[in-house]
Amino acid sequence: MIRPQDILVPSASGVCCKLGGFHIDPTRPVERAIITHAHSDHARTGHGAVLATQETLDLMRLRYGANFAGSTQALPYGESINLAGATITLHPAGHVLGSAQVAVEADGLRVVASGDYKNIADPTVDPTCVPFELVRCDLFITEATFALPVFRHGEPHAEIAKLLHSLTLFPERAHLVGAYSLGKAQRLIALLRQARYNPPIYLHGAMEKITNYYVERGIALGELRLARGATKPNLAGTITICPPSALNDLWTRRFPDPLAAFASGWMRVRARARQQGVALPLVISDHADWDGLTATIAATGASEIWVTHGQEDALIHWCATRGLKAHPLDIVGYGDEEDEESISGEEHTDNATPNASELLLPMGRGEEKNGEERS
Amino acid sequence: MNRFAELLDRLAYEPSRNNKLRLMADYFRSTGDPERGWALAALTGGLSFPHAKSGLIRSLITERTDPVLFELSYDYVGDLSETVALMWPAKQLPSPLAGESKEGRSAGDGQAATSALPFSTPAPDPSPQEGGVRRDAVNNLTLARVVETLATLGKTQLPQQLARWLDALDETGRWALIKLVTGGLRIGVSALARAHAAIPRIICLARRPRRQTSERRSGAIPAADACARPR
Repeated sequence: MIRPQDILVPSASGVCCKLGGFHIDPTRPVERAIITHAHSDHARTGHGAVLATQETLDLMRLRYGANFAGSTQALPYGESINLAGATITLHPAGHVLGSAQVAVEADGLRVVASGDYKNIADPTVDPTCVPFELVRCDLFITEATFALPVFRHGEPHAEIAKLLHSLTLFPERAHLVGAYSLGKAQRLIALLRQARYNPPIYLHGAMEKITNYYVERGIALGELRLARGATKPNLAGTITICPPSALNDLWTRRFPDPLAAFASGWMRVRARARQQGVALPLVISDHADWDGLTATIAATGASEIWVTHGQEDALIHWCATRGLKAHPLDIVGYGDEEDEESISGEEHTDNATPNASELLLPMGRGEEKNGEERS
Repeated sequence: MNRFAELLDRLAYEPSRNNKLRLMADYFRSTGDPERGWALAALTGGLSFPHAKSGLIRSLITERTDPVLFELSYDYVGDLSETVALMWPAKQLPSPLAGESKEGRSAGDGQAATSALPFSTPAPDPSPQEGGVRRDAVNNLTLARVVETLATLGKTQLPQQLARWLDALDETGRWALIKLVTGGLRIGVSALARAHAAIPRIICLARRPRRQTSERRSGAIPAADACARPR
């Protein structure tokens, strides 16, 4: 009888499938990698071959350039491929556009690596990506970013209402909303449009390429403008989305009496919001909260749970109280998207992208070296 | 209570004195009596509830949560009222699956019914489904009712009453209620209101129609601000 460890084993550079000869979200360059989503702590450059959803491959290409991997292969949700006896299927993870859980099957045993996920089935809660799909399995590898019972994300619509109320209360102030530039920013814009907020929304230069890609994929985001093209008086009473690190940047000087908001699950904890000088914390997260993590673990039916990056202790304790075998995977290198945002500094200077006015996206489609490329 | 909680929440993060005054003015303008009177008393440190101590709050949460999860959470959050407000188990509506959740409750996290829900339902998170019921309860709970009830309540009835209110409120509401009854608002308003005699200013801001106030540019603020300075 095959054991889960025979399918996947933890290694220093990520979870490894010896059978199929690949790693999932490796933190160091490897020969063959399956990437769950394009956030930079999971998607790194320099792998020999990369298998992911088309969206993830496109986003990686946007962030790292056309040569981010030796070769690429796109696998749509729900389709399977076989690698040396291991059957691989990608399922929606509901985290960001293109995010996937990786299911690996061999000899009737199924292991699911969740990547990062948000277990919300209601598409209005995140109009920017395919909702999470539950996959029953024997071993579930879960993230644990918000794995403490104090993290409950609540309804994002209420947080959007808070932002819009502030806008009517302080119509002379520019509202700057810190948001991770891949996923959160676009989701925030979509939620604002859902709440019938129709004026143009301003973007920091770092958001431009990825936001254009979302629009290109058919996600309606309304009228978007670049903050660098606007004059100070015109920015009064407007909403600008920027990377979290820009909130405390000299960049904010162009705005009239800027009010710092931040959309993140971390905003649930007051000390976290205060440390970042945030005046309007918005609890909007692309990760499962405590209730979501525990509900998902229970619903997968898995008898063994591996916990990666985050607050592992609490989740492992919870699993133990439910009689589930659980242990942490100490993989160095996974973190929060936040860490990634603070290094995207080159985008902060507005001259970084010369063709500011054109909202056009240079796309290198069809350049994949791998002949098996599916589109 | 939820509007008052929202106000406290905003005030706690807002560093600017003038903006604190604007937030308060907005609240007083749109809130009726006697609610806003009690709110003013609470904001300026004029209310105290001798029986409600942090020890009581701690014992309430100990009865409801797993001790390991509580310690990990308290350690992370660093503030008792906030930890309790955040991890207070959401009240589950009676459901056909309620029986299965008993075992989970004794395990301590109160989230068992969540995991017992069929996962394929459109919203696995229980809060949207019970949101309507809970929000009604929250809307009915006014600050005035909290203050008036606590004034007549004996020490022995207090824990049960507090628990009932905490069941009905959301995270921000619970945080505000615990801060209010244990006397630790610390939102930088009571000193401000006393030292700067801001109350006339708040009242004169609140009397103005909303539109006129909201359209004022920063140029108009210093003049009005003058009445908030100590004489």
